[in-house]
Amino acid sequence: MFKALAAAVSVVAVVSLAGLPLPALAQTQAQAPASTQAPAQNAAAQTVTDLAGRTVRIPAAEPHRILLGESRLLPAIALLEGQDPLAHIVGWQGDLPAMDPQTYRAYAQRFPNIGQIPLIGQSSEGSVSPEKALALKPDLAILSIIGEGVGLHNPLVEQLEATGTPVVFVDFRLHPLRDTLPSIKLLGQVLHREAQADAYSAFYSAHLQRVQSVISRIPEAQRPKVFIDLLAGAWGAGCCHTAGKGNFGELVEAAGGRNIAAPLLPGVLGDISLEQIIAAQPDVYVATGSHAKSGGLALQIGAQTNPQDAARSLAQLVARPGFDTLAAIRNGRAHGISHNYYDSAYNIVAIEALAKWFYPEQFRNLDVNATQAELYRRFLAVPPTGAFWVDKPAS
Amino acid sequence: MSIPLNARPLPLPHETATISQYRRLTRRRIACLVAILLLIAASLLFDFNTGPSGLPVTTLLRTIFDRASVDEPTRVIVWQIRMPYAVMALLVGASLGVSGAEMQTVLDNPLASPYTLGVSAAAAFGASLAIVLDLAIPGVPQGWIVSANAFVFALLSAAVLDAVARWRGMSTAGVVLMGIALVFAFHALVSLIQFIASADALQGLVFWTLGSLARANWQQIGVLAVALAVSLSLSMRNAWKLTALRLGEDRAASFGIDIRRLRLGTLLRVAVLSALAVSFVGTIGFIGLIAPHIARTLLGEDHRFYLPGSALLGALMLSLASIASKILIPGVLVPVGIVTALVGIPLFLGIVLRSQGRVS
Repeated sequence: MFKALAAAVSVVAVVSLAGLPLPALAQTQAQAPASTQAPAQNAAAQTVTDLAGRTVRIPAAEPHRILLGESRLLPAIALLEGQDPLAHIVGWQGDLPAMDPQTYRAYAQRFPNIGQIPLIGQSSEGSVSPEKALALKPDLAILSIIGEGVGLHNPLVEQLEATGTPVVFVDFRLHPLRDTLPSIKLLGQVLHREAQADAYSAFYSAHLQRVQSVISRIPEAQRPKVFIDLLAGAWGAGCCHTAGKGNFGELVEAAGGRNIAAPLLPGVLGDISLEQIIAAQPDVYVATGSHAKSGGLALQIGAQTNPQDAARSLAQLVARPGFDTLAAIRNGRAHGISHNYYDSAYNIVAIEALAKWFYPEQFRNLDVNATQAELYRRFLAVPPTGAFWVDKPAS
Repeated sequence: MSIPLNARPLPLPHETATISQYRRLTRRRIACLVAILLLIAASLLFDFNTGPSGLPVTTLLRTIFDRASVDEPTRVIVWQIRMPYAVMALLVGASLGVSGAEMQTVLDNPLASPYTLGVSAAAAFGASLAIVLDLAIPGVPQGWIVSANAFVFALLSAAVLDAVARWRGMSTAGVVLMGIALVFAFHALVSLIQFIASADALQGLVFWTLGSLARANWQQIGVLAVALAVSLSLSMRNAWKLTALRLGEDRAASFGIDIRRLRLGTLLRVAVLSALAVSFVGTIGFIGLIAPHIARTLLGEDHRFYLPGSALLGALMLSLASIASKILIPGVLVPVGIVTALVGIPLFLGIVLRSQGRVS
C-alpha cells in the first residue's frame, strides 16, 4: 500500500514533465514547460483537471484577481509567486490568522498590507459570505477539497462559475503525499507559473526520492513503531488524540515509520488511551503542536517560536504522568514538530525530519535545516523564523 | 405530642393487609436496589478488566495488592488508567443520576436534568474560555484551569435558575423554560468562540464537549466523592419532603414543608454536584435525564428509594458506557459522551416496553 503510494508520487514527479496523461491531472493539451512554448499556443485557453476531478477551462490571460478559499493556501501560492505573493490576492477567509497566527505574523512583518486583504469569512465554511466573495469579482478562485473553507458542494462554487470565474480545487491535507505535487502543478497552470511549479516539483521530488531510496530497502518489520501525539496537551492532561491512515499518519509512513494507530483507527483521527500506547511500546514518540503562547501544556512550535520554549514545552509534555514508562521517551527518541505540516505544501520538510528521527544512522548526513533554508531561499519571500521541530534528549 | 404506640387501637383486617402489602413493596424495592448494586459491581469489575493491553486478571489483582511485584508500565496502567477511569465513571454517573432525579422533583418536570437545563452547556462555555482564549481564574493550578472555569460557569447557570425560581410568581415551567434558554445561549456562545479558535484549541474544545473519562485522576475523584457523599446524605435527609412534594405543592405545603427553601436548597446541591461532574469529564448528557425515569419505573416515587436508585442507575449506565467506549473499536477510545446515549437508549426502551409505556 505504502510502496504503491510512494511509487505513484515519484511517477507523477518524474513523468509529468514528459507530458504523460495521469488520471489526477489529465490535461487535454499535454505540453512542455511554459517557457519553451510558442507564443501562439500560449495565448489559447487551456483545460485543466483539478484535484477534485473537475474539468476547468482556464483563460489564456494571467489571473489578477485571485480568491483563496482558505488563507492557509498562501504558503503554497507563495512558492510560485516570487517576491510579491500577495499582489494578486483580492480576498480570502480568515483561517490563517486564526489557526496559524505565527505564519500570518511572519508574512505581516514583510507585507504590512496583509491585513487589508478583504475577508470573505472566518475559519469555517459556515462563516463565508457568498455575496462578499462575488462582489470581489475574482478572475480565479482556488479552494481546498477539505478543510475549513468553501467545499465542493457549496453553492458558491456554481455561483462563481456562473459569473465566469474559474474555480479549481487543490489538496494538501486529505492525501498530503499523493496530492501535493499534482496540486503544485495545477497551481502552476492556473497561475501561469509553470516554470516555478516545475522547479518546486523537482526540489520536492529530489528530496522525497532521497528519503525513499533509503527506506524502501528497509523491511516492514524493521521499521520503527511510532506514536503521534496529535496536538499533544492542547486540552489538558487527557491522553491522546492521534491520526491513523491519513493526516500526519501519511507523513509518518512516508518517512518509513509504522504508525501504531494506523491499524486501530477506523477514521483519519481518533482517541487512543495511554494504556494502548504503553502496550504498543512505540520506538519513537512524536508530539505535534501549533502554539506560540507559553503557560499551557501544549507544544510551542512553528514560526516565530524560540527553540528554548519549544524544548521546554516538549519536556513538559513527556513528563505527564505515565509517559515516563515509555521507552521511546526515556531513550531520547521523543520529538516535537509543527502541526501545520499536516496541511502544507512544505510537508517534505516534515518527512525529512521524521525520517531522520526514525533512522538516525542512515540519515546521519541529512540536514533538514538546510532543506528548509533552501526551500525558503529559493522559493519564498519571507525568511524561516522559529523552531519547526525539536528533540527531547534522553533523561 | 405523639400517641404512645401501645395506645393505638389494633389495626383492622384491611389495614393489616395494607401494612403487609407496604412491607412487601419495601422489601421488593430494597431487593431491586441490591440487584442494581450487584450489577454495578459486575460492571465495575468488567470495566476494570477491559483494556487494550490485555493484562490478565491475576496480574491486575497482583498490581492492586502488591504494587512492587509488577513492572512500571503495568503499575501505570492499573493505578493511573484503569482504576481512575472505572471509578470516575461510577462517581460521575451517580452524580448526574441523582442531580437529574432531584431536579425533576423540585421543578416538577420530567424533562429536567443538568444537561437540558443548561448546566452542561454553561460548563462547556467555561471550558471553551480556558481552552480557546486562555482565560483562567487567577491562582488556579495549571491542570485545573479548564475544570475550574467549567465549574464556575456551571454554578453560575444554576444560580441564574435559582434566581428565576426565587422570582415571586415564577412557575416551575418558567424555570424549565429559562433553563432551555440557557442551553441555547451557551451553545451559541461556544459556537461564537469556535469561530476564532486556533486549530488545536478547536480540536481540544470539540473533544472536551464530547465527554471523556480519560481526563480522570485521583485528586478529582477525591473531590467528586466527597461532594457526592455530602450531597447524597443531605438529599436522603430531605427524602420525605421531596416525596411529599410529588403529591403537589399545596399538599406538601399543608404538611408544613417550606417549599421555597426545599427547592432552593436542592437546586444549590444539584448545581454543585452536576457542575463538578461535568467540569471533570466534559459534557455527558442523557444520564441525568434517563436514570431518574428508570428509577421511578423500578422503584416508584418514594424518594428514600428513588434518589439512591437514580444515583445507582446513573453509575451503572456510565460504567457500561465506559466498557463500550473501550470495546466498540478495539484499541480506540470512542468518547464516552457519544456512547452513553447508545448504551442508555436500549436500557430505557426495554423498561418503557416492559412497563407498557407508563414511564413518568
